Amino acid sequence: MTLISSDLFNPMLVRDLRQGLRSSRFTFVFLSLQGGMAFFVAMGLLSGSGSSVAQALEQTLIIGLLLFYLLGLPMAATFALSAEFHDNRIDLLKLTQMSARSLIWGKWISLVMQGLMVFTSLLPYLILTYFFGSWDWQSALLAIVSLLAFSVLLVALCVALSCVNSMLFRILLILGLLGLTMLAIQLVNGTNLGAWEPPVRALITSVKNDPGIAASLYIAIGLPFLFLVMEFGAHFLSPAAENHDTPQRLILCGLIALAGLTMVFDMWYPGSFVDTFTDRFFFFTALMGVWMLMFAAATNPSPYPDTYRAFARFGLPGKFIGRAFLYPGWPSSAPFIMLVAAFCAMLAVAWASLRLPSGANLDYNWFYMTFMLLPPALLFPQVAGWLILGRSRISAGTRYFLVMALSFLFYVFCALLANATAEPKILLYASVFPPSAWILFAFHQLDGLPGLPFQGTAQIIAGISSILTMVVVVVRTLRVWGNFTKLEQMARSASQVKRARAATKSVTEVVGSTASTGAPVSPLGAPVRSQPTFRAKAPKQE
Amino acid sequence: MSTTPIIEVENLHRSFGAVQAVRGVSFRLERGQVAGFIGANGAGKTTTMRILATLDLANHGQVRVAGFDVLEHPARVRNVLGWMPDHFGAYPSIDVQEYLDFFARAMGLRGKARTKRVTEVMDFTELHPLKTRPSDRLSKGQTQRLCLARTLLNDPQVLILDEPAAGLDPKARLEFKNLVRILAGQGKSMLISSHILTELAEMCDTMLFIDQGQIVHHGSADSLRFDDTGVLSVCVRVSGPVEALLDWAKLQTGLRLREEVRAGAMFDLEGRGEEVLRDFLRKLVADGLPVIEFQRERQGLEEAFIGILRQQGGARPRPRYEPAASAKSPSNKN
Repeated sequence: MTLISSDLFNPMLVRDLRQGLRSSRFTFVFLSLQGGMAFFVAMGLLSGSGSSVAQALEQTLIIGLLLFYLLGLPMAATFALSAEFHDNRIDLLKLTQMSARSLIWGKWISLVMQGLMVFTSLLPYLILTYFFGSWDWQSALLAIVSLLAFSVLLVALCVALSCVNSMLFRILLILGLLGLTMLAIQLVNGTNLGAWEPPVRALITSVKNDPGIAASLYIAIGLPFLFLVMEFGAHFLSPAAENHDTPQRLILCGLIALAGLTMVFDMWYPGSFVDTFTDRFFFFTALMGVWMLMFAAATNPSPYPDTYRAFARFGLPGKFIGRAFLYPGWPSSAPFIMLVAAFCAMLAVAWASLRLPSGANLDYNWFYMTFMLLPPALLFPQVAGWLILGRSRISAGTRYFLVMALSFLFYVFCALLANATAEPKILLYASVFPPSAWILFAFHQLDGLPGLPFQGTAQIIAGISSILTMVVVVVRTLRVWGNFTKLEQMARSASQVKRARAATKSVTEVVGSTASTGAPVSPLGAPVRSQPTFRAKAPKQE
Repeated sequence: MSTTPIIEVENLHRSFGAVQAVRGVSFRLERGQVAGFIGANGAGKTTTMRILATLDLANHGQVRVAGFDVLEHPARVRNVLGWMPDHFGAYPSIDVQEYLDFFARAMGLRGKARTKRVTEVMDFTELHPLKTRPSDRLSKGQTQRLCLARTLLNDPQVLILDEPAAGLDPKARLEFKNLVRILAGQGKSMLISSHILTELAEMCDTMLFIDQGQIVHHGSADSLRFDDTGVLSVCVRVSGPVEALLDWAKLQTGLRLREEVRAGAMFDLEGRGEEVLRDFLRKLVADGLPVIEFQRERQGLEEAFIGILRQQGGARPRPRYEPAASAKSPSNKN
């Protein structure tokens, strides 16, 4: 207890370890695993290596581990912060000096520590099986380490998502975890996974054949992913004026830059060590990018001047970069998404044209459409929210994901109908809404299908709806820029007040006026706060 | 010592969808003041307090705690503020000492300073005998003491206590009141919400009455009890027949008989201040009435509060929910 009582550790980690290790849930899981392992080793020893009993027990053990690392631990993570939301505990935590970041990181570390503890406790049994059993300890160790590594990221995602105080969200997450575990169990049992089979098998083979490359890829993708999801979770716990969107965008920029460098290296030096994972790295980066950009597009801009202070400090360049790319909220996410899409398109086209085999047939027309449709596809739900659901009481985020889900369902409906009636032209309807049009074009390309007969018409329809979407976004953005000007001025004048006060304090007592700076002051001596026109991140009514 | 008010609230608005929980609340508390925050359920007390504690956002208005804007500098506000909610969940498998140790760590206390502070607050709230008891297995009174101990860990300048005495038995309530008195003696500023007005009156320098999201009265308990409407209520008892007193009263201007009581009568006297009372008594004695008792009638706090609500009621739109006045239990009257 002395070690975890040390001041070195995050308070949340200390408390969660104290609490978690004493909880009956952990004790039950730990003892069950130990008992199971002891039983497995004993039975394996008695039945002799390679027997069917030993193999069945090995499989049972693997399934047990899968259940713990893919379901048990992430499920605990799903409720990590929801337990704090219960009974006002989260309020008490928010009032401490712990930042939202340290809170969420502490939760994650404590869960990972519990996972590691279980892993460490299993090591002696693995060594025993090496001496007496049938297992190849190296592949067993590699499998468990890979599972643990994957679980660590999954736990991070679940902890971050547990910050969203929504039961529906949690139910969906648990269903997703159940699906993932089922998939993994099927894989262990040797059941064919259908469409998932080739990529999953390829992934497993690459990890087995070249663990070094797999580890590099894991670090290159896993670390930014970890920071991204943690920032995402912290956004829901932090005070409203705290900015977590800009760090997320910067992390994404770094990740894209790294992916770009890898691709450029691969183009110049074909067959180098990056050759095997460049495309996978780019794919995962794009996946994370789309996820992050969706949340950026779903967020309303901050109405608090403090958010803009860091940018206003750098004068005109700072404000421009902020407005165009880095301010939290959808207005700056629009140009940011366009920039990211354009950069990724450029990289992907360059890489594909140089690295793909000469016989590979890449339809650039579809390819460009996929990237060009990305910004309107990501911003369309926001536009639909303003135009259709603007007066509803649904929050901006919920509205956004509702429209996005409906667009996805619309595409599925069109696809099913087209299949059932054997009339591919029905898919043309999917091109009306940018998100469903994007799915149409992206899926078509991924599947390597030949050009559809209505390709030109689909492009025109998708183009028109996309242009209309972007026009609405631009008009709205220009209106919001007026508010940005006001907020930047307030942020700047507040900084000036602070500096003026600091300067005056050294000479005499604070005057408490901003007259010298020319900033408007309220009767309380603070810069006047006008009614923000943005909608604040409104907490739920208690 | 700084002269900045410890709490400044200016034109605060907060709505939840169509419901306006707080509508233009403004007040200020000076350093060292203990203020009672009174209102019916749903009047806007907790919402206002949560905004003060940086846990909720105002739609409009400005709030400063110890000179720091709650929106601009939530971290600084949290450093000087202690918040005690009306209810909170303790942690299972964590004992009282570990609970306080966790929050002390979270508040940035390190090493021996942390251990010392935890011991100090446990001493103050008399939690030492319970230090190994699981924090989720305490009585209501013990839980409230634990919550107060947690609130005091960062030695806050201002304490915001939301219904601290709710659900406590009389003994625990008395213990809690004593703790608040000691803290007030140490110069801590406090904003305490409660339904029990008499208890607040004993502890507080000033009272804030809130109804339907608006402050309807801000002043001391006495300023509320002694109705400031320009009419003083006086009870006079005489040793002889009461008729003499009643006949005398009929001849006086600015005096109205409210009701007859045993060996005397209650009068409503027009005017304000002690001079009016002094002159009235002098006249009674000068005119030869055998006065044996002369007492200015004070209203019960609940009664006074209801009176204020009645006065306000005419000027404001009809409330959507049951008005505070009718929600009060007569047994709570002073």
